[in-house]
Amino acid sequence: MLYTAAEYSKEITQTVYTWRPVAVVLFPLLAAFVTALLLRRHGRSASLFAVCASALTLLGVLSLYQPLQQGVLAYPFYRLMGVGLLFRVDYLGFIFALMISLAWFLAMLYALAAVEEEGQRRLYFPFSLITLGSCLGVVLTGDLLSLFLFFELMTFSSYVLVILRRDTESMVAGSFALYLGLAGGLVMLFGLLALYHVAGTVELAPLMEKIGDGTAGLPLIFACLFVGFGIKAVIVPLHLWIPRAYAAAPAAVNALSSGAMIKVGIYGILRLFFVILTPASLEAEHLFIFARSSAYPVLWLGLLTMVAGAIMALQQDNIMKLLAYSSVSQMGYIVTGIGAGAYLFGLEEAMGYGGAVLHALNHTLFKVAFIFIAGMIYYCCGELEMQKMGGLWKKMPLTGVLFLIFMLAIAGVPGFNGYLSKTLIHDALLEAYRHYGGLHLYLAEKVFVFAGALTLCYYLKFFQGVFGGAAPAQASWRRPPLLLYLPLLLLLPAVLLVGLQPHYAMEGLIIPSAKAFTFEPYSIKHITGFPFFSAASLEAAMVVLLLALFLYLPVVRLGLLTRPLPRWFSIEYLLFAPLARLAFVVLLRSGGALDRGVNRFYFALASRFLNLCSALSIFDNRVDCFYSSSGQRVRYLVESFRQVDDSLNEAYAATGKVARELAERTTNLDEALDNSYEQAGEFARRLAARSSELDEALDQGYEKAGLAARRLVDKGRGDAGETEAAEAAGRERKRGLLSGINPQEWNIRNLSFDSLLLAVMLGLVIFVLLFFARGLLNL
Amino acid sequence: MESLVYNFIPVWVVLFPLAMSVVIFWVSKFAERWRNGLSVATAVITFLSVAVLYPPMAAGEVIAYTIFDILPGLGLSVRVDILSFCLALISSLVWALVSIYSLDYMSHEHGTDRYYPIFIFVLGSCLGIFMAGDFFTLFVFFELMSLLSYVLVIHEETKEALRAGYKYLIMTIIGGLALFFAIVIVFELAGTVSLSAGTLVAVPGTMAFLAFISFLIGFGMKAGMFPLHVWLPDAHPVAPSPASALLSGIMLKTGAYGLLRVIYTVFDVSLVKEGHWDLLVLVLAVITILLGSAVALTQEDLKRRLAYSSVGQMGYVLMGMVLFTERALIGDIFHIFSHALMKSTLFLAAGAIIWKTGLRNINDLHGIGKKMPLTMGAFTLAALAMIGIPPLNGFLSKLNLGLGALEAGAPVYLFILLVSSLMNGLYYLPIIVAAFFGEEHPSDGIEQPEPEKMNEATAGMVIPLCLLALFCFIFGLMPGNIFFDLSRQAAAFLFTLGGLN
Repeated sequence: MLYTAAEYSKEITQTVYTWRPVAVVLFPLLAAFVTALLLRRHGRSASLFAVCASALTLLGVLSLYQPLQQGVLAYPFYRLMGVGLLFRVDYLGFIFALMISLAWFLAMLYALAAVEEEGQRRLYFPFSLITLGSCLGVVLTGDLLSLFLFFELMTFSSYVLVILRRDTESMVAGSFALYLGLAGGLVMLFGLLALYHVAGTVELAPLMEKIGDGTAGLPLIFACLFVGFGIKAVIVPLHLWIPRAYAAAPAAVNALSSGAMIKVGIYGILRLFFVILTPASLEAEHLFIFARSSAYPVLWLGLLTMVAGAIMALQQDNIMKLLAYSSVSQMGYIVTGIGAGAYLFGLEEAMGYGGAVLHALNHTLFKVAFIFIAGMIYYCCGELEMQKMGGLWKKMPLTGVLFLIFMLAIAGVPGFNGYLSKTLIHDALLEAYRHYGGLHLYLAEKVFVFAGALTLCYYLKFFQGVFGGAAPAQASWRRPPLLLYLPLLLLLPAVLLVGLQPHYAMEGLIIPSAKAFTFEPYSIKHITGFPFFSAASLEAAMVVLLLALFLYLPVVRLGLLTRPLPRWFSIEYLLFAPLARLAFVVLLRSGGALDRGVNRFYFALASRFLNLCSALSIFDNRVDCFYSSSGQRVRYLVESFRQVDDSLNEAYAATGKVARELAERTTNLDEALDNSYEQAGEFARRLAARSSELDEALDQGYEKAGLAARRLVDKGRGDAGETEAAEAAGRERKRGLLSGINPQEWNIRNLSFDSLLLAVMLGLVIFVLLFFARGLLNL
Repeated sequence: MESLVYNFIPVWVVLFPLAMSVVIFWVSKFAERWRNGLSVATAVITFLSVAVLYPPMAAGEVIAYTIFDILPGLGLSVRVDILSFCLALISSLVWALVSIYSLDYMSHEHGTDRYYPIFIFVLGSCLGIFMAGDFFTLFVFFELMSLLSYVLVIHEETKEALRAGYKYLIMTIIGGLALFFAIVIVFELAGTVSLSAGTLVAVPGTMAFLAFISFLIGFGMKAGMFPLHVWLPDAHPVAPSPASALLSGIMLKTGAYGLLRVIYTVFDVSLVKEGHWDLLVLVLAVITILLGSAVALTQEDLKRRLAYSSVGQMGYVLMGMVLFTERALIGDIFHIFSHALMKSTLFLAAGAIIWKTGLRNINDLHGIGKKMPLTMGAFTLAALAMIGIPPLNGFLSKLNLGLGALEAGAPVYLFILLVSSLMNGLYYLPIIVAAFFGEEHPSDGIEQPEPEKMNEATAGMVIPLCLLALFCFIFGLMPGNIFFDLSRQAAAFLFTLGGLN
């Protein structure tokens, strides 16, 4: 997934698979843990162990040089981190690894004496070893993702180094560096992922064939990666963290920052321009266009960094801050070299490239020395402000001499190492002017010379302020231990060796590294055996020196450029503070407001809902009222109905009563009738009985009458008897009709046929009588 | 490729904790030790049972069957595919570790007889969500989990907790109803809500859109999506820390899981794309990310800051699922793993600090790193993972999400991710810096007598915590990253389901 582009690179003749780069990176990391453990018990021996570890790391890096002759050293871990990690060493990586491990070894050696406080030692030794491992990791990996891993690790572990003193100033400086580093890392990640998306790989190899020159996002990718590395490489306007960090951190840390960590940024920019943005073959001329065109603004950015750094350095009174801005300015040289080199692709690219790499190496050598000197001054005087110092020449003559030597080196005096790299970069600028012409490139060269002159000016100011003049009255002073001189004395021969024998560095390191890239062979040949000490070059160096001496009086002594600029005129106040404020407003305020807004909205919604609910309950009440009122009505209605009903009922009841009464009455009547009938019956019966009695009596009467008649007939004979009998019969009848009736005789059984016949005959007689009498009566 | 295999482990995995919660409830009346032991044993056995499913899952098998039908096409069913397995694995893993942590953390708390049975029951219902074979089953377990976790939220029974719990409850119910509504619509449209039936809704229409919105509300509520996130920053901090870890680390993921299912299987992916429904989710996700990170910056309460951070992180997950590139989906699913590990570490660490010192406010945490180096070390590791520092797991998910955004032709989302990462840095790093390098009690000028003794929480709390933090590292850097491989497989699986290959 990552290693596809290597085949395009023709110069990579052979890849040697070896674990050595891995060991070089991991050893300091492991040693850091051991140191941390040791520090709990044996402080002194732990720091010694840490120094030994850094020395071993330096040796380990040096041991890479031999196998590097055969080809690129590589060790891939295909499955680590999900995407693979690739360790790879080529000459460029080796140069930077050398620089880093050298600076580290010296700084840790220095720290043995300089970092005195126990709390600081406890943090310094383990964390500087971790940072060493991560810095080496950055330069010894073969793809941008692995590089990024170590890059971030470096950001975080170096934070601890910056805040070593843990006072307010260093905490602020540390936060500044940390967050800027974090932001830079993320910007870089953006560019990295975009590059991966476009090219399909993030291997450190010529990728322009894969990207294609027409890719729309290429400027963005380039800008992101450049900014990401640029923050570490302290390019103006991304340099803000370094003056603060320098002022707050001890020299043993600043040496690491200057000597190694900002070089990591430079390393990234070098890789970006000379590896990633190049095609794999020289024939693809059009694929150089992007690198060339993007190099031009970078060239000017480098010049701006040089001049701005130099001017800012002139204004500083704090020697550490002066050195910080000096580092900014020197990074400007390197970036100018890179810009000029990339601008000259296909022509003299190796010149700019070589100048930049050599200057990075040189800068490590002399800037580390300057920082050690500043640290030594702080150790002795406890002071960093130049106004409160002076006259140290008498107390520290050796330091003064060393300072002068390194000053000549950084000023570019022939015979010292700075001269070589500055000459190369200067010549690259001249070449650019020669090839492209134009006033702007002519001016660029002048700006370069001007900045070079200013460099000498502010170092002279430094020297004057610290070593010259008179010592202040109540200055405290203590002797520096010899151990503090040791790193300086080790650096001195290196500076002189590079300066006097340029071909060692050039042919041993820089030219082989250039050969790995897609450079015009002619341009490489041009810097091989480059005539550093030609008349033109010497003359240019002399111009710089003379200009510096000429400028020194007005600029420094009369304070033309040393007066601090107004606070508002800094890039911080013009650009970053408003940007930060804007981001704060846009993100934090709006985020918080939105969150509160949503919450409030919900509460409003809820209260609306509750309102709705209460409205509903009112409605509900109304409905209830309606129901209850209509209920009442209904009840009333029902009541009235009931009343009607009741009255009806009553009516019915009354009717009923009436009926009952009627019925009763009827019954009574009936009964009465019954009674009457009964009575009538009885009456009739009595009547019948009487009639039958009568009948019987009649019967008897008749019978008696018959008897009497017969007696009459018998007696027939006498009327006396007759009359008497008749009277008796009459009396008898009377008696029979009224009282002489025997009830037993009025029985139906006693009704004999004779009497019945008699009755019927009587009836017939009456009927006949009545029948004829009727006719008689009608008359 | 789908081979259906009858396998009763899924049913066991769901029913075992559910049944055990009853047992634990019963046991807790008699013996505290047995209750605690059983809780841990249940969680661990559940994790192991889930892990047993790894071989068939890695081989691409799908376990799916119906337990019984209520109506045709509507019933209780089980389905485990690679996606379910991913979620179930991480959930049960974190649950097992948190259960161990709970023992010591809850030892001084009241109401533990209520806590443990519910703790285990919620595990069962959570796994039920992931192993559900259809949306009806899912809904049942979803509601069970949501409602029962209310008890975990209000465990402290303070006024604040009850208030937050009330908010949680109301919003959960709304979400549940929305989900139910959506399920009903889908059932109406498709005649089934089974997850095994392939794409259910492929025809655009108002009803389909309504269903989508309702799903979005239902699951988005649980996932803490803007503007439905408001319960989250209230509910998560007030819960006891182990419960916060689970609420933030696992239970938020049920929402994400549901949305993954909705977008990739319920609806036709092309339908989602053509209707620009994905844009809706994307916009909400972006707002969620930025808002969560921004508001987290302003919080003073440690756990509240973590809760807002969860809002932001869930935004990543929401964003990843609608970028519709396989790599984004890998990052998305891996971020579910990562966030579960990172956030539970952070909450457990915060819990250990609260347990030991009673400090919740960030400004009081100066120098805590010296007293509790292991706890704060774990916190640091997880926080750096959160920011996305290589080689931790958060970086790997962010890397894939970012590349996915680029492949989708939308670098702006990568930009959003990185802005949010920066903000993550801005709110996590000060805590770490203050903890390790800050002066203790800077306000009172009295010199402290410098005891600086290690004063860690108990081993029962520190070990799970450190283990989780170690996982953040292992699953970021180490080769044979199981979670990453699973994410890759799950993403490929979903892509095939969505017909995007």
